[in-house]
Amino acid sequence: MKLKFTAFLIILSALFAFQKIEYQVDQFPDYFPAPLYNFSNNPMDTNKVNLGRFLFYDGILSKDNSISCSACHSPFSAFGHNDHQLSHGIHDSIGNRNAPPLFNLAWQPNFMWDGAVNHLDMQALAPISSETEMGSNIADVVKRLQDDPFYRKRFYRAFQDSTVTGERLLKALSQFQLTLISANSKYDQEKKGQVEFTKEELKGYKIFQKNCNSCHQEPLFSTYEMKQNFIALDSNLRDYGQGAITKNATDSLLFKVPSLRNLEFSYPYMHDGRYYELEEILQHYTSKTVQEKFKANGLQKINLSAKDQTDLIAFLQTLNDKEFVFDRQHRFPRELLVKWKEE
Amino acid sequence: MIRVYFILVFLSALGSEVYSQTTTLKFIATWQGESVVLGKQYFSTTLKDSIQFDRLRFYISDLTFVNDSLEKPQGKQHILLDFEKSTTINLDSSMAFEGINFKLGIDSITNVSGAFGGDLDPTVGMYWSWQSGYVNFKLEGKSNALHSSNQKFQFHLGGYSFPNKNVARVSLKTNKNSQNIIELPLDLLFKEIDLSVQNTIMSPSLKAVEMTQTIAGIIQIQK
Repeated sequence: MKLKFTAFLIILSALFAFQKIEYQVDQFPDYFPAPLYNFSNNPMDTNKVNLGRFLFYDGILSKDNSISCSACHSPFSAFGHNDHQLSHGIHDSIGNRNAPPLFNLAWQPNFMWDGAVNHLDMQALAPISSETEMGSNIADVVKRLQDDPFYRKRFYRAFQDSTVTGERLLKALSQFQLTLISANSKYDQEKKGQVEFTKEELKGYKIFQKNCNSCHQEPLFSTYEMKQNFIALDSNLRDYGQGAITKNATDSLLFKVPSLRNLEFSYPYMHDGRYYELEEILQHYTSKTVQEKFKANGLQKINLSAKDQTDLIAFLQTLNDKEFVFDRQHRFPRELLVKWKEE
Repeated sequence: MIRVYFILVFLSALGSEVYSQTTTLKFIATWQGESVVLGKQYFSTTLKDSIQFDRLRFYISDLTFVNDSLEKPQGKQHILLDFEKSTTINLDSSMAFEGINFKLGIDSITNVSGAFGGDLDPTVGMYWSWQSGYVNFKLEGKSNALHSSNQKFQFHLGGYSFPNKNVARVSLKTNKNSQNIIELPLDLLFKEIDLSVQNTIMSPSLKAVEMTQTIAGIIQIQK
């Protein structure tokens, strides 16, 4: 009897190991638009997701094994880096931008604050190669992974071949990141008819729809377009956003519109992390200086009383998704601790 | 009966041996007619000084054989020619052809479609990391005539979107034999470039587009 039960458990775990994630069907609400990521080029698979999760949390991607993706993209910060204005990197270096939170990436048409990366698969090349982030390069990372028995085994599980390639590494990283879906905030629960907004939240929702929705469009709470945020250029960072990539004057100081989901976990805000409080952002957008710039650019004026601002913040708080932030499936994989101990 | 069957199998194998043909396209770079060896110094009459080439890699795409106005695709869609490794393309083709067409560079759709393996794997060093896109053509070297850092020149040419879309078409009339040598005369390219002014291109630009067009225009079949 005991033998039969053990055999049953082995078969069950084997079945579970090869279970495909029905990502496109089950994992996001019907009011979300269709994802932009082309899953047919990288079909979701549990073993690939697991491999991507190991890679995401392992410093092996950096030159001296010190910096992992999670160093600046922590699960408890909605995969951003709360309380850190600018990203940190190898040899205690400081980058020139705030690490953006990571979620709902399948719906994003481009990546990085300046929109320089056109596909999720290719995004990891930027931090891997950056002198102030991981200080390495993709060819060296592939060699390090190929020399590591732990990863050879996991590449075999994922790709039925232990050969590590740049393509496989990048696609596995994409797979883990594609599972980072935030779609169970109070806003989502209200959409599904499970809860109701309070009076303040409902007022705030209306204020949001009138003043913010054109750029921070629901249900993703961003159009992910490149826009001017009208904050003054930091004279030390001298970050011109998309303009530095395209070299077009018209693209100067354009940055990607961030999602407003999970703001409670992902402060500070803006591309240079200059604001720590939501009130500061509202003060910025309702200031006389910015209103004049809005007018000059043909944008709609934002007038918000103190009460309006309180209600708007009450609504923005309904976009915090605790289930996503504390989801155990996305956390640091304990097997890595065993691996590191053995090394 | 079995004997007849084996004879037929033998004859068909023999037949495929007779009719299958390998066509070779060999890419070379030259300097004043001499085949370029990476790291070797050459003399430039324009610069009145030495010049050497340390790295030369480029992509060709959509290679086709042309016969009587008909085009037939050959080999892989994208092929990396790395002059530190191999620049010979062997094609299993019995098609008689009088010309070849290919594109210098990688098309826009491939550039926006995520990660690929083989010649397109980012580990081969032909993908920008700080922005998306393949480096279609990479030429690096040095000249004592240059006052730039380490007397180096670096041309990384790429770009997949307007106005910096960086793909050029090459059409060549070939020799009537199974081996054709395709020549990139670097001396002709450097006649078009004033290295003292232009010794670095590292991102998509109109200058990169112009240089790619020049390269496509000077590629020729070696007689």
